[in-house]
Amino acid sequence: MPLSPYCKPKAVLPDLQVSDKDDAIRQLVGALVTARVLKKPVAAAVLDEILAREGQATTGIGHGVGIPHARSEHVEKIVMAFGRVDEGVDFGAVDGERVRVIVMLISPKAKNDEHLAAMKAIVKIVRDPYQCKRLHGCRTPESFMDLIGELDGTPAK
Amino acid sequence: MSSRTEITVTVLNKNGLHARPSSVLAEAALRYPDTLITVCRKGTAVDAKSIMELLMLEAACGTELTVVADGPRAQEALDELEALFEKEFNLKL
Repeated sequence: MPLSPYCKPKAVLPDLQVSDKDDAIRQLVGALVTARVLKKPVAAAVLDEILAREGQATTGIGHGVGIPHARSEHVEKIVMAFGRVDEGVDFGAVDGERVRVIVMLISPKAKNDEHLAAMKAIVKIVRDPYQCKRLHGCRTPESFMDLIGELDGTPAK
Repeated sequence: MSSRTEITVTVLNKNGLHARPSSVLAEAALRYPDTLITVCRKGTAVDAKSIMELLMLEAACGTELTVVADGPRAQEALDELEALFEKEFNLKL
């Protein structure tokens, strides 16, 4: 599934300064409001949903990547945000590595298949060491958008 | 003593094999370090011990999967994993 239709340059924060994981997630939700893909009145509720999910188990899937996410009734289509934290942030990740790249995903509650497909598309990038390295290297919204655009439609290895 | 054995399971979770059930499954599989455990869907076979690999299956509710175990505790591992699928990974609210 192509991810670029759900990525907006304004929801890409390549130089996040954060105090902790929750702060990072909060800032990314804020970026979604700025990018006008999330309505301001529901932002707090969506943030709560993501933090609640994060409280169940880490989304730090390894290789320095965290994928905080939620299924929400507050969005009608998938929305995504991307953040990069130079010094890394503790996600309690499965491999113990600090998270330097955050890919946030909010899916409409009713569209579960899309959620699984988007998750697969994200993981497809992260599990490929070369593409994951390129993802870590995205220092501008443009480079992130370019990379996602390039990888859309690439068959899974 | 090594034995290879397999079972067929169905994803019963309404939301499919998403991140949470994948992590429960991977954690269980990791308790069998000497046993190779693979989850297969059609032509794709992935390591049951990796959340990322399990997410690549994109297994929605109702999807049939084959779980193959090879190693000294293969049967024990499959019994445990089969129970997890049946109990919807203990995540049912």
